[in-house]
Amino acid sequence: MSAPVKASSAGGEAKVLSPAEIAKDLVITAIITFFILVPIVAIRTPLDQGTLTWHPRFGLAAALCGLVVVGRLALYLFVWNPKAKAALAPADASAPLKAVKGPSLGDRLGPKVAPTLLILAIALPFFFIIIGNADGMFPGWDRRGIDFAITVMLYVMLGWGLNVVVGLAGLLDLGYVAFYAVGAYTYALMATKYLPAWFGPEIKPYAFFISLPIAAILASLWGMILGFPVLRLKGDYLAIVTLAFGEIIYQVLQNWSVFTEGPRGISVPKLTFFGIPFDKSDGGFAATFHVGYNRIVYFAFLYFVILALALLTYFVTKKLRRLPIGRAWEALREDEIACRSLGINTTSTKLTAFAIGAAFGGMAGAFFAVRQEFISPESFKYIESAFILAIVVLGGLGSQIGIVFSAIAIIGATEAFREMEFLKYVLPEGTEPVQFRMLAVGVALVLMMRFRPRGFVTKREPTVYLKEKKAVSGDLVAEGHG
Amino acid sequence: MEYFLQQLINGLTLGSIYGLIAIGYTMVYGIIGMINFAHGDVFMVGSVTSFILVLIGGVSFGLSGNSAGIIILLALVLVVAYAMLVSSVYNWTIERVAYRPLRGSFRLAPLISAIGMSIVLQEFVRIAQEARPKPIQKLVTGGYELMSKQVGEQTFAVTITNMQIFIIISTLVLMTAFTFIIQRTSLGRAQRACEQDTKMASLLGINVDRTISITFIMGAMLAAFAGMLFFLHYTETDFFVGFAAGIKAFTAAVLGGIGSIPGAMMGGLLIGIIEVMWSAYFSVEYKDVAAFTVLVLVLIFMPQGLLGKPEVEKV
Amino acid sequence: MTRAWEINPELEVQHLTMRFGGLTAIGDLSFNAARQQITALIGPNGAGKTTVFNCITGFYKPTEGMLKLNHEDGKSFLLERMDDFRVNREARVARTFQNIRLFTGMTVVENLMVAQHNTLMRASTMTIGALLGSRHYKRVEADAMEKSKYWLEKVGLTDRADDPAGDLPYGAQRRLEIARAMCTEPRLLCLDEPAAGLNPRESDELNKLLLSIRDDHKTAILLIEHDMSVVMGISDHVVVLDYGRKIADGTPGEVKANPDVIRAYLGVEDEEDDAEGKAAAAVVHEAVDHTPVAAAVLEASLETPRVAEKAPARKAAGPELLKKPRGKADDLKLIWGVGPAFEKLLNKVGVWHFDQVASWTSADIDHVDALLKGFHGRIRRDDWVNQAKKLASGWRPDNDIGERPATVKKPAPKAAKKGGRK
Ligand SMILES: Nc1ncnc2c1ncn2[C@@H]1O[C@H](COP(=O)(O)OP(=O)(O)O)[C@@H](O)[C@H]1O
Ligand SMILES: [Mg+2]
Repeated sequence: MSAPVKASSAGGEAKVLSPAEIAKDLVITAIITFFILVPIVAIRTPLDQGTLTWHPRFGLAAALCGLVVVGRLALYLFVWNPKAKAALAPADASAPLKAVKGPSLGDRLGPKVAPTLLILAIALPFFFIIIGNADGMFPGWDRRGIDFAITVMLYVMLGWGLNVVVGLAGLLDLGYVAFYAVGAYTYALMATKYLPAWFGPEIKPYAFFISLPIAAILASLWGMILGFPVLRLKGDYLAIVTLAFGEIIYQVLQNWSVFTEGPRGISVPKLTFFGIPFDKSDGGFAATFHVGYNRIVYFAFLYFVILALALLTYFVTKKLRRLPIGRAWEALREDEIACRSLGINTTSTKLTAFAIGAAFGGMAGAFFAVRQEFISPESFKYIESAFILAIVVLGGLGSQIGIVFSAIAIIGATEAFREMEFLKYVLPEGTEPVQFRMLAVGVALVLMMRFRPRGFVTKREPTVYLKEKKAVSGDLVAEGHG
Repeated sequence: MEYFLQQLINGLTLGSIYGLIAIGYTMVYGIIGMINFAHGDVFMVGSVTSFILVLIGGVSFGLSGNSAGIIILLALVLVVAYAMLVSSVYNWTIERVAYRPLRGSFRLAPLISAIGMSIVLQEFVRIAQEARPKPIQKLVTGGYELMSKQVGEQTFAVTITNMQIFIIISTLVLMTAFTFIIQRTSLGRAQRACEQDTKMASLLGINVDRTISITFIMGAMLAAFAGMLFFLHYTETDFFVGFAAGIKAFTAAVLGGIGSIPGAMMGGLLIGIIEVMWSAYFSVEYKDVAAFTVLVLVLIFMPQGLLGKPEVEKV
Repeated sequence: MTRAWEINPELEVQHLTMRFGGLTAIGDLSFNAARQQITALIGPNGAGKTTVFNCITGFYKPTEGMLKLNHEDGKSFLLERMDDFRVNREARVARTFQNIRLFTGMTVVENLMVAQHNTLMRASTMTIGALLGSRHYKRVEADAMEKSKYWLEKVGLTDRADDPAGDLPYGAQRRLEIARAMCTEPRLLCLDEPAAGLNPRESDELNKLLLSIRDDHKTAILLIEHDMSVVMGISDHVVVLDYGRKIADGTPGEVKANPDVIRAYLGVEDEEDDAEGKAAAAVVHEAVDHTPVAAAVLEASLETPRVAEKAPARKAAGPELLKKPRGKADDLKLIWGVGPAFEKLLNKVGVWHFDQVASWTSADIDHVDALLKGFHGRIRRDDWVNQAKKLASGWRPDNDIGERPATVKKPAPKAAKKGGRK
């Protein structure tokens, strides 16, 4: 009988456990799981003719409890077991953690990844249109595919924007959605109220492209207004204050009805092709360019707009990293005190990171509004910030390519939850697979921090070199102080 | 004046609840130097658990506001005891699963893990218990009229409800017991030792892991208690109550001086009063904004809080 | 004799006091650092040297006192009123840190480029110019690269320019930190224990580097160092601190001969419960052993019967002092704050037993304090009397970390540990 090992979390030293100890551990696990599940899961509290009542759901609780215990037993047998481990990783059985912490798939990506992705991104809508229109193969996939691609690209852009603040400057911003909201509302209010009032209704078709820079400027202004007082804060405080700021903005949007229409929201005009609407009218896109009218053209255009915005974010950030300001951001993340000893004004450095990150967020917000054609405060809750943060963290703090993959993975998984009809048979009644999406994001954050805290791409690319460019291993890169 | 007095009573009641939650933040921050982002959600778990138990009591055992006082009290003791147990198990598990393995990892890791954990708890409860707010009949009813005043046609009375008395008294009792534990027992000494210097404490033979676990359990028990009070007071709860209450309680902890337990209680009372007064005199809609603004102002202008020690950044 | 640091100094420290809560880390310290000279700041661990640096470089705001930096062109700066980054940017003071603070995840050359941030930033016209590819910026960037190369060459790191700073061996990291500080073109360079952890060869190279910085770059250096071979070998002026106060100030020769200095160094052993202290004590002892003059002075001071002779004469006024122990002498080292060297001194003065110490009155303490010049109130600070009372009654510290009796307050609260994980 092989003696399983329990990886002690504190020091990482492995302790060999006897079967009796394992049994004891499993009993404790069962007891703990019991209290976690009873009553939160074991009792349902549905409405019955207008009043609340309760129904037991002990079967489900027992099943989950059993699952946890069996799962832990399996871990003991197959993962925390030195023999099993040796079988899994024969090369370095002596360093069991190495298997987990070695270079990730992301780090093996070559230099050609970025151009390849770019070509793929440009080709994507055409691909979806082809497969969507190929007879009977994937009906409706043109629209759905492009929609999905737009969503991914939007979050890639948000991720890249937040990456400036969190990944490069090392400041944990939990209120990023505030700038997203500022951008969205800038466009919505500009397009529906101010631009028509100032310049007459003819301006309306151009509203998006006029509002876009305004959204960026306003968002970065807000970034500075909010950033200035809080950037002296350290660590966890910064996180919670930015969270509070995000909430304040949400509450103001919710309650300042005269200005924001409150929870009713604002309907906003559609995107136009630089003034030419995508409709069947004589002045429409189809008539102007003598192509047949097809709704998909509009979605493809939306896609290319967000692709262009995302690429702007990408290239500006990439360039900034090589300039003194970007280098100062990274230095700040590495060691703020050393920065100050070198004469770097850390407050203004942080502020620029905040402002630039916010500007990208603002543009993404404006795009979000034009795409949804309707906005309300509900889209700008804290959980959205957490979602974007998850994308950045999973991608690998500071890595732009990693964020692309994590956005695809997370949003793909979300969509997959929607698709997984079969889950309905497994899940307790009254729950939809799609409800599990944020739960999965939360679990992913915890697991990532535990097993791959540096995310998908852990290597850092130097911004300047003397002889040859060598990537810096993630183990040396600091992740800021919050 | 009467109006003000009434609001003061309401503020103290609410503040007691915030104070109880704030202690959990302050203790954990003191001992491992991180914000337990999931603490507000542990409070929520306590609140939802006591809701379920009270509901069962109501539906199956006829527990209601009309039951005899002693029965209600007994029921509440049972409910809160179990809710404390459940919350403790949650917080203990969170520390074991999400924070302990990350000690010694980079600075943001436990924080991000905590954010993840907070999402997990919220979503877990939302899925298990549905998102709808869960209302329930008032369980503790009645009260006393302290004074009344004739204003034109109407009389305005300053009252203190039995619920408010219950909240304030139980908070006082809990606080006293708690202060005793921290100051007089070896457990409290171990905690204070870990707060000052974890490495040194472990060298001196203090079981640091256990002390940290117990700190999380103690914080969870207070949060569960607050959760029950919160739900009884508002006669409603849901999976999301931990979010706003959590930030406000954190504000309270910072206002009182993070790391200081009396400070947390004092900060809680202040935040409760500020929130209630703001709603009473300015606008109810922006009450959360007021509390969050206090957080921002305190952190900027008085980061060491009322009772905290100023810290010089070690270079 | 006029000394360089007395006329038109680069740095004037006047009545500097820094308190942390109840602890006075620096008490009324005044000294000058001369232009284009190396001024060494020495003293046992916990003496407050790093705190002086932190005050000079703006990281701590002194409780009292003035820190004045004079440029050659006549411009003066009051450092205590400046933000930390302005101290570097405007007053041109650069520093290194006792526990190296490199940007470990950035390459060596990136570290040097970050140090030239302000020059580059100015050239980048609010980043926008550089973003649009301005020629001027490109030129300035190329110059910055040249300067980085120069310093890489100078500290011998050219081959490792593209490696992450965190991958360098310890000695190279120290040199890189100096190079990085020099890239900011300072007028005054503050080095916090640059030779700590270096082997003799590296230490030698460091000396050369520092002399070259002083002579070729016309930069004043303020140096904290425990390695006496470095201190005595290259410094022009030595200031000695003990418990936050200046106990000597002069040329290396003068300081070496100062008995207070030697006592202060012996006192290092009271840090023995602290691993760092132990290491530092070892370093000092080694240093003293390796420096013939200092060693000779040390021997002399231990042999001088001066103190012991005086003691019996003042017996009537002072505490009971014995020429010889009554039977077997107690192990005075059990008193927290007394190391082997102190024990020797105490024995010389005539203190052998716990009960002797236990019986001291306040006046006796002052008396013994005076006898043991250079103790500066250690007896009170560590509460020797109460410790001795407990020890005399049979109490013993029960583990080898040397637990102190409960009455004794830790004299120097260690750093705020909160959030220090990294
Ligand atoms: N930020 C701080 N907070 C509290 N005490 C401090 C702080 N910085 C230094 N000290 C204390 O000041 C004293 C001097 O420390 P330091 O300047 O580091 O000594 P040295 O560098 O000479 O070894 C020590 O007792 C130290 O604990
Ligand atoms: Mg020092």
